[in-house]
Amino acid sequence: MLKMKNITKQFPGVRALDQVSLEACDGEVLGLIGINGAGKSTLMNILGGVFRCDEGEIEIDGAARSFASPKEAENAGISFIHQEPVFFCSMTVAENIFMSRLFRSSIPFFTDTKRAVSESAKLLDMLGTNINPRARMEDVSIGERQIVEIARALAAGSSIVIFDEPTSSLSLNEKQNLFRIIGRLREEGKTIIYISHFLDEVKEICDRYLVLRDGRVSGSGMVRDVSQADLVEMIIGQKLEKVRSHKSAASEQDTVLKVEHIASGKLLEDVSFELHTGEVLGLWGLMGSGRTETVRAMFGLDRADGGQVFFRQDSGELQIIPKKDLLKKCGYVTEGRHTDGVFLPMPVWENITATALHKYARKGFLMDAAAEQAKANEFIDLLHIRTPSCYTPVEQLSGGNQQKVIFAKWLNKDLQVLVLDEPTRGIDIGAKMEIYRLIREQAREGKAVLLITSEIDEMVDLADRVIVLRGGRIVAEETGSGINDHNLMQLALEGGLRNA
Amino acid sequence: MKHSKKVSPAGGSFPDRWARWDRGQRTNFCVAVLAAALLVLVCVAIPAFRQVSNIINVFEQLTTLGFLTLAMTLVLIVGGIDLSLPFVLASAAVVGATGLANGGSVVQGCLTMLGVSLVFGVINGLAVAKGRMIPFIVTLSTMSVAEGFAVQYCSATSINGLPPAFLAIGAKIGILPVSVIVFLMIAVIASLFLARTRFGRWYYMIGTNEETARICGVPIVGAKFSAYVISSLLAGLAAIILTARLNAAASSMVGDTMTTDAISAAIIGGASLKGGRGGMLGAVLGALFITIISNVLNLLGISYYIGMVVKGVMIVLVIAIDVFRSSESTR
Repeated sequence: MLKMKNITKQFPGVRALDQVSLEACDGEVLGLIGINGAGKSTLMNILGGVFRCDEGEIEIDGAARSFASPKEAENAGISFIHQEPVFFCSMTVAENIFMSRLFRSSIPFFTDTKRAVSESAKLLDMLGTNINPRARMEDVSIGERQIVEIARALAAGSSIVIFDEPTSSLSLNEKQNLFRIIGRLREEGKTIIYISHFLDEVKEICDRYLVLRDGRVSGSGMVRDVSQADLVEMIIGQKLEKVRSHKSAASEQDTVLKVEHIASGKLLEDVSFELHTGEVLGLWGLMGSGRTETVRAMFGLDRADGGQVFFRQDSGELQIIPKKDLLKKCGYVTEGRHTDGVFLPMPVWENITATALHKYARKGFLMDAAAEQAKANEFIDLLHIRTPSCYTPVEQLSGGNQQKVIFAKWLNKDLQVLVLDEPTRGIDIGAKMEIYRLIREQAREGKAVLLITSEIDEMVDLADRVIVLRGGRIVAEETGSGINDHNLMQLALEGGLRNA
Repeated sequence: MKHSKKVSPAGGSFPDRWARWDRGQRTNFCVAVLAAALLVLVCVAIPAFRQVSNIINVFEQLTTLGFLTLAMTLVLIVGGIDLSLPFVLASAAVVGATGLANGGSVVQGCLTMLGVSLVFGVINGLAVAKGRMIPFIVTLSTMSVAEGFAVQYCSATSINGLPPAFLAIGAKIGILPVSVIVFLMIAVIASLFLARTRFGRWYYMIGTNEETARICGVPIVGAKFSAYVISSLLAGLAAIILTARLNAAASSMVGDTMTTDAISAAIIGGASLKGGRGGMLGAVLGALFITIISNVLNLLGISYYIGMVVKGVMIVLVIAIDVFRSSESTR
C-alpha cells in the first residue's frame, strides 16, 4: 500500500505540484493520467527519489519514508520501467537483469554467471516469455527489452512498479503481451502505477485512475465508474474557448507539397497530407504520436518504408521528388536547436549564410565574406536578433536569438516551404511573440508552413488547418472553428471517429 | 552598410583587437608568440642554433612536417584524422624514385608520386566518407598497408641515382631552398582554399556539427572525400620535395615520430581532435614550433629516444590544451 499525501513541489517560477495526494493498493493498477506538463513526471520523480518534495509525505505499508536518491527508492522496493529502457547492449540478458546485484562466485572477485542465468530464467519464465537469458541484449527486440527491465525490477525485489508510457514504441502484439504481464504482476500483489495519456489503455488495464492537471488532482476514482468523456474533461478542464485571431489566406488550389502514404518503422503508418501555399498547416499530436518522425521520414533523414513526396515544379505541376532532394527545397527548423540547428562555435554570419553559400560564391567557388556579413546584418536588423555583432559565436546568444538565427538561415535561402518543429521551445515570451509574427508573415507572403508544436495555444493561434496524429496515423483534420484547445486535445487523446 | 568590408576591421588598441578576433585568430597569435619566444630563447641559449646555415636547415626540415601538418589539419577540421600520411609519403617516394632512377622523366616521376598518394587518398576518402567507417581505424589500417608496401617495394633499401634535373627541386636559389619556397606557396594556396572557398566552409561546418550541416544541405560525402584526397595529395607533394632534398628515397625516410609530430603540430596550431577548428597559418606555425624543438634536441646532442619521450610527453600536454580549449568554449 502506497500513500503520497499532500505533495507540493515548487520549481523556479512554477508550482509543479500543489497538494497532490495519491493512493495505490497492492494488487491494483493505478492509472496516472494527464497531458505533458501536468505534473505526472514530477510526482513520480519524487517517489523515485530524483526530487525531494517541499511539503507532503510518502507512506509505504504504513511507514513514513523519504528518499534522498534513486538508489534509496530502489532499495525501498520502487522500480521505474522507462519508456526507452537503457541497457548494456553487448552484455547478456542475465547480466543486465542482475547488473546492480551480481552473484559472487565461490572464487573471490569472480561472479557466478550460472546462477545469474538460472535466476533470470526463473524470472523470465514467471513473466511468461521465452527470452534466452544468455542472449545478448542487442539481439533482443524493443518490446522484449521492456520485459527484461521488468525482470530487473522483480530481481530487485520491487513491490511498487511504475510504468512510464510503456506502449509508445511497441507493436500491437508486444502491447498485448505487456498487458498480460502487468496482469500477472497484479496477481502477485504488486502495486502498479501506469502513466499514460492513452485513455483506451487506461480503460483496459487500470483499476483506479488519478488525473493531474496543472499540478493538481482534477479527478480520481475507479476506472469502471467513469466514462471516457468524463476523463477527457478532467484532463483538459473547462477552458475558455480561444477566439482565433486571424484568418487563413490559403487557397485550396495551390498545393506545393504532397505527401502520400509515408510509413516508417513501427510507428508511422500511411501518413498522407497536402500543404498549400499561404497556409500554416499544424501537425498536432501528443509526444510519441509521430509528428517529428513524419517530417524526418519525409525528408529521408530516417528510414522511410515507402511513401512518396510530390513537390510543385516551376511550371505549377506536382512531381515526385526524391526524399533527399526535398531538403534542398524546404527550410527545416529542427526540434533540437543544438544537435542539428546551429553551428554553436561559429559566428552568427556564418550560421545565417550556411544554407545559401552558393549565393555568395563568385564563379561558384570563392566566397565573398563581405557580402555574407552584409546579408547577416540585414537579418540581424530585420529579425531583431540581439547579438553584439555578426562576428559573435552563436553559442554566446540566448536561446530565442539562436532560434532567430536559424530562421534567418532559412529565410535567406528564400524557399517555398518552411517546416517548423517546436520553433519556440525553451525561449522567452518576447522572442516567442516575434517568432509568431514571423511565421504569420511568412504565410501571408505566400509561403507554405508546416508547424509542429507541443503547445496547444501556439497551435490554436497559428494554424489555419490542423492534422491530428495519434499512434503514427492521421486521425482527424480540422479547420476553422474546429481548431480549439478542447477539440484538439480530445482528438489527440481519444482519436477521431472519422479518418481524414 | 554599417560594417566595413574587412572580416576583422583593423585599428584600435590591442585589447580591442583581441576582443574582435575569433578563436582561430587568437590561437594563431598565441602560437606565433610562443614560437617567437622559443626562437629567441634558443638563439640566445644555443649559439649553434643561430647560425644562418642552421636556420636554413630548420626551414628545410620544416617543409616535410609542414606539408603533413597542413594535410593533417585539413582532415582534423572535417572531424577526422589521417594516421597514414607519413607512410603514404614514403610509398609515393619509393615508387616515384624507382621510376626516376630507371630513366623516367622528372614529370613522370612527380606524377607517379602524386598518383600513388592519390590512390591512398581515394581509399581513405571512400572508406570514411562513403563507407562511414571510423577515420582512426581506417587510416591506421592504410598506414599499415602503406608502410608494408613501401618496405616491400624498395626491399628495405634506399633508392639512389636520381636524375640531376629532379634534384633541382631540392636545390637553393641563393640561400633560399626551393623546397621552402614551394612549401610557402602551397601553404598560401591551401589557406585561401580553406578560408575563402565553399569547400573550406563546408569542412568547418561538417567538423563543427555534421547533423546541422546535413540539414543545411552540405554535400557531406563529397566534401569529406575531397578532404582526404587533398590531404593525401599534400603528402605526395611532400614526397617529391623530400626525395629531391635527400637525393634518395627509402621506406624509412620518414621518422617513427612523424605521425605524432604532425598531429601535435596541428593541435598546437589550433586544430582540434573534435573537429571544426584550425587553419593553415596555425598549421605552419605549429609545424615550425615542433621543428625547432626537434632541431634543438638534436643540437644539444640529446638521444633520439629521449627525444621520443620528450615529444610523447608534449603530445599529452597538447591534447590537454585541446580539452581545456573546448571545455572553455562550452561556457
